Amino acid sequence: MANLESDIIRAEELTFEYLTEDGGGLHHGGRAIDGVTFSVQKGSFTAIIGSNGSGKSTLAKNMNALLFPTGGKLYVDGHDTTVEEFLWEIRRCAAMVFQNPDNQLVSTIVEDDVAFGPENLGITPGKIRDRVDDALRAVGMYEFRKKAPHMLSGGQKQRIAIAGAIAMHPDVIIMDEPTAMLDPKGRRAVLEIAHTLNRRGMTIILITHFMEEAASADRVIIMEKGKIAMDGTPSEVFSDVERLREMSLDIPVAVDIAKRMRDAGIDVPKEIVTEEALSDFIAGKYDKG
Amino acid sequence: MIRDITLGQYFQGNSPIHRLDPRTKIIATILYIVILFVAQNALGMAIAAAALITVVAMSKVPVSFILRGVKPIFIIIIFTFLLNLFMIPGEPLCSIGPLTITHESLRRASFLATRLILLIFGASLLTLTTKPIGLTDGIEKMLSPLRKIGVPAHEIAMMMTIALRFIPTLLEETDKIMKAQQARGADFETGSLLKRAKSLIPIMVPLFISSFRIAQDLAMAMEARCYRGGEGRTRMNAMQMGRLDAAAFAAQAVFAALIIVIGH
Amino acid sequence: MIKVENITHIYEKGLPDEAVALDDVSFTIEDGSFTGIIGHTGSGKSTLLQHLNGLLKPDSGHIFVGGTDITDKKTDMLAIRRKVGLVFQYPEYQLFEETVASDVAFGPKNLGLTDEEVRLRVEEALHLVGLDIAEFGDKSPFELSGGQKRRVAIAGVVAMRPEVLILDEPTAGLDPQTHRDILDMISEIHRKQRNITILVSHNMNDVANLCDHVLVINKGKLVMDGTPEEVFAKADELSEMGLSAPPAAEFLRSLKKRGVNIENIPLSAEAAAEEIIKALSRG
Repeated sequence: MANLESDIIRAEELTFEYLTEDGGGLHHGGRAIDGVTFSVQKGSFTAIIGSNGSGKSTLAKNMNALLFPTGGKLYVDGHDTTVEEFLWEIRRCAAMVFQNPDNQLVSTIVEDDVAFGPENLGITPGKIRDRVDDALRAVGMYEFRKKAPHMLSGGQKQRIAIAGAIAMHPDVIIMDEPTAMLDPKGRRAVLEIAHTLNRRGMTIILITHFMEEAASADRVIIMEKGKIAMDGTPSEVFSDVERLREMSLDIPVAVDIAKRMRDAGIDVPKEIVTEEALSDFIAGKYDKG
Repeated sequence: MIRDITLGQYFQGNSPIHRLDPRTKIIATILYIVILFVAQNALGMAIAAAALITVVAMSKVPVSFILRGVKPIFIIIIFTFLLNLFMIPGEPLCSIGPLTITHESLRRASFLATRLILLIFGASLLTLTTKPIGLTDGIEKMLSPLRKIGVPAHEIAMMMTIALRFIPTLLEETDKIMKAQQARGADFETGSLLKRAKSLIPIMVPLFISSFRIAQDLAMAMEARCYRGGEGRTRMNAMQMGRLDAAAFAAQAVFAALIIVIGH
Repeated sequence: MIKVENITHIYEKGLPDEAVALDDVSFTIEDGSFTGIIGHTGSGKSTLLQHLNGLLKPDSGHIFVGGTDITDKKTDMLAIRRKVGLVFQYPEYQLFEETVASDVAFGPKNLGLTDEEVRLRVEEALHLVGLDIAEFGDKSPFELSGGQKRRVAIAGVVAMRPEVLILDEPTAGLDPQTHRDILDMISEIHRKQRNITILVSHNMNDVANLCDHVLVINKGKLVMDGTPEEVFAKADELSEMGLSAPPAAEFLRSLKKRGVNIENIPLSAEAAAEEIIKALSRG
């Protein structure tokens, strides 16, 4: 068993079943999450990948107590998410950033939007001001604090949404496909911010379709049909190219090239999954040879 | 472009008028409108006009900017003016064809038009010098004593804020959907009224679906950020009335007294 | 053939917020070409697409599609739509009918075709996007999966049998499998119809794999026009514009920069691996 003290999220046999309604009443609509057990350590950067319908988004919503387990247990900072008195503490502790940059900003002015969370927590006005300024600086959007959200780009809006999460002083930020609707520039900016926050000690859970983003995490969880199909470091997970293909996922370019080199008889270590590592390996071999 | 349309156009500034508490400005605007109806003679109107000119000058909002905002309403003013000009009986002044202008009608029409112009200028000055969010906050604060009798002050203000936030988003969405349907050969511009009304279905259905999607996403995002209604909620910019507001109230009292004494 | 001659488009002309969205853009696209357009958000590429479809008119310049000047005020709008089909980003958000078949029929009906012809077009279009009309025709488009919805929306444009099919980021927001499926479907349509296909994408791999011709738009200007190999060879210029070559090519370039003797910079991972192996064997 992992160290309970250092786990920010712990799922035990977590199951979530959607209920569907038709003329005849409620029916079980299939298990979106099917008996999943795992934990996330404080300070870690975990990427969750998987195709649509694999249950990863449902999992994120369970962690923020927007949905509640229909079976098993989920603990956020030691609190059972189904216990009502912890609800607000859990939502503060595990902040969320959603996919659509437009549909999660509430206010007509950037800084008021970032203040929305702390205001809901009942923080005193002066302290909210400090939190908002700090959060906007952390995402590099301080100069835009007086702007209207609809005048910003998708990437900038998503940075505001992240600032809104930071301002709640959470212990973990769960990002549910935050880059899916962004252009490459916006995508890079958001990923960079996630890493900067993580270096400063914030636990990050990033749900994504982009393998390059997942390869930059310390841990990758692959979900398939509501279950955890793979779980390990990027090196462990991405080195199994056949398995990734089976699950119809993309192969990061470094992994793809390394595999082809290996097939040609060059002994590229399996743990090489990023471009930097592969580049170092090739340059090293080249100098020696 | 369609996304540039903004509601309650705000003119960025830091004049004393901008700095007033939104509540002060809302009260002042209401008072000004009441006073416009109390004033019954030309002198009263002149004082009201002078007061407004002073405030506009203090606000440093360019007159051209105010005029641009009220342009569409001028048609109504001209219409009202003409209607009064030709419809009020009295001592004839001159006549154009079958229409007769009288001394009374000229006086009444000018008086009503001036009142309408001052009213619109006064009201638009409120939105020009107050951020939308300030207005909703002000309304929430002013309505909050009425919570005891069941007026949902916080909810009204929150609804207004969200509406203001999403109007540009929905306008953009409408623009996109219209273009997408036009690319599929839809025609919104020609044909009978019925045909044109029917041609709106391919816009309205996707727009409704989009609105529901936005509402669903937003509700979830708000919940995730611990929103649970107005209870226990604090505000970053707590509104506070200061000396500036006291001065504004004093000025308003003098102005109201003047109109009641002289202009009534 | 598409011939674009010196088009310029200015938003808010004469107002203080005047902005030049397209600045003297000219290019030619040959029949049967699969052309990619790249450029970052706000580069003017959306404005360009809307010109090709007649939704926007240029302030100056002309666009000829198959010899017809679509910028001429006298040209019938429906004639332009018949020639050029434009699939917008997230096209599934424009679906509105009760059934898949009637939604796909919207375009053909607007063209004034007979009921029988409309029926044939719908069947043909659904077949092209890989949806069986017997299975999907009577379903509500709103109960389909994300990928299926997008296919229906693309069928709605394909059913107008355009000579030019333009797709603006047709894979945005999709998961890797659905992304591949939609691209396969698009190249299948291109192969069968032998028309001009124009793909706007941020994914350089997709552009390199599918296109025979690439246009690069930056700040309203056409800055590059050539084959994928020609365009992606100018990696430094691309990166100045915030764009890049496909990941495999970028990787080879970085190896070359640190002194590894790489001779060619191909665009695919397969060819890149071969180059690296050759370089290592040369030592």
